[in-house]
Amino acid sequence: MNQLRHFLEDCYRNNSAGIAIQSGTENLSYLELNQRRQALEGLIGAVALEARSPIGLLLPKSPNAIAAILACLKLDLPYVPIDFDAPFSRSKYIFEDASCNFLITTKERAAEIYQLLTINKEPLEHPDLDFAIVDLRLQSRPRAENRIGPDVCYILYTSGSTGKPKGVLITATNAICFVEWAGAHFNIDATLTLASIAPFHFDLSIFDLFVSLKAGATIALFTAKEVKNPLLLAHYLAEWKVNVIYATPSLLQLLLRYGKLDRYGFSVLRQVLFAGEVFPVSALRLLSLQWPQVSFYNLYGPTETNVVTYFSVPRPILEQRGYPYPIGQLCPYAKAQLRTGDQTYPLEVNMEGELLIAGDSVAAGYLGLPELEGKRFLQLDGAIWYATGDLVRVDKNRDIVYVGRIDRMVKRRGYRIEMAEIENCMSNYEGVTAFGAVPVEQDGQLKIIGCYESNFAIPELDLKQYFVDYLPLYMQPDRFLHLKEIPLTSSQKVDFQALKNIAIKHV
Amino acid sequence: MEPVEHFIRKNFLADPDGDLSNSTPLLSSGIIDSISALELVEFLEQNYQIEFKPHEVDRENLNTIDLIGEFIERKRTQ
Repeated sequence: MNQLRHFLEDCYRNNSAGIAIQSGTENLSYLELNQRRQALEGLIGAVALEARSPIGLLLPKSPNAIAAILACLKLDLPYVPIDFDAPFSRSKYIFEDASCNFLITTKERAAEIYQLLTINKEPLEHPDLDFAIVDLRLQSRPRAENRIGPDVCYILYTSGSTGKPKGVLITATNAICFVEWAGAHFNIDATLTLASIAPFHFDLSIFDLFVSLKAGATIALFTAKEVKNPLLLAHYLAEWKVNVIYATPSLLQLLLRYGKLDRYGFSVLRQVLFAGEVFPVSALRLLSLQWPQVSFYNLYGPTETNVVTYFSVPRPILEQRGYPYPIGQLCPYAKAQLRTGDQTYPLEVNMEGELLIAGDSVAAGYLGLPELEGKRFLQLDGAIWYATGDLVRVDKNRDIVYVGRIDRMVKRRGYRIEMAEIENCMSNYEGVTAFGAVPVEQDGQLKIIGCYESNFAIPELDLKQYFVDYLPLYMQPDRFLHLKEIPLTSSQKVDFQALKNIAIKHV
Repeated sequence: MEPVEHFIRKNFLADPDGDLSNSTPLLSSGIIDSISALELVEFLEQNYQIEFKPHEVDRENLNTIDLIGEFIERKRTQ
């Protein structure tokens, strides 16, 4: 059986004395992690085994949350990690959409939920550990039943362009092909410490959790609060002797700008992997100067396929380089082709099109959304291809280059304009720490608003002059908007929806 | 604490002449977000010759101008 639970099982036996989790509150050996998992299994087993409905995990980022994930895997129950800090309405949308029968949460939160849902019963609590189980079947509302395939291990909710989160069904095969490749490719072994910065509802955490556990390495666990304070993050990264970091460029840039990295020693840090968005080269260059011994890797892949390409950033990074690095080569388990209109093409030098991905890492689909699933997961030549919505090009070295989102592309005066191209240009302007370009309709006309984050407002004329030197006229932003802070999503990426709403108010 | 008040007015208040007293909550009210807090820390370190330890970047030391003043006093007498 090629299941994730069997895949991870050896880790407890082989490394029982080794530290599995290091955190600000407690450290757990593999033996202790295994015991905590078993303690929770008893509690879940009492209620949940009857029906294979997904279990919602509404827990703060903590050793307990990892124990809960492992318990669900062991009991063969698909789990849904839910953002503990999100508003209750969003959590509720997710656990209802996933037809969860049970939630695992903290005792305090369980009591709150019973009150909010007006359930007149006591949640089931663990006698010692801060775990409680919310029985959602006690709700009076009628519940939809979603059918979930027997091989689904977990469901990750991502925000959709429609504004409603959608559940991506991840199977054991999906997870294992990535975890095996990443462990081998980045030489992860039991002597290493890997940072866990991303929240567990975000797919970057699959690397932090499963690659570490599989190798018997140590997970350096950062809470949401610690991640928000770059000073504290930098302090712990150094103190816990972290060897490998996997994070978004937005987060790494905050660390570079506010983390006071000079105060600490990072001599054991050896790899920094980044994914989720484009890393502006000027900031990446500064980080590479700060950490000269570190290898940097650009990884790419939406939640629906996990990582499918990788690129090792060559050193040194030249000051005059303006364009971001490629997303690189396909992972061994992934196949790709390009689509323009109804036609598909193999990847060849200089070709451009929407990236389609097939292979073992492609998710089993969306939970309860057959129509959307049919549009994004395509049946072609006897295989399932996920249409990423990302426009890519193949460069002369046969590396794949990310061009932009198809849905962030607009047409003006007959020209196709990709917002990311404007952003790449802006990211090199001195003093600008983040940037987002958004198209806004005004009196039937399309206006492009360039929103920038900086300590000071830059004279509009200076910006216009700068853009005239780098972009054709039809691509010029019409207005610039100075912001103290570019809004980020809970997964630390630029929140374009929020940015657009801010821009609309200012037009 | 006048320079601190001036810095907060200039950088974090939508209206620099708006309401702000020494006991106005800064973080819990949303006047200062997580990034602004770090900018404030940089300003305080540079202007008051103190150094924040990472865990000191916290609501209990930064939430009002009074608390900031007390924190600076404590750091200087340490």
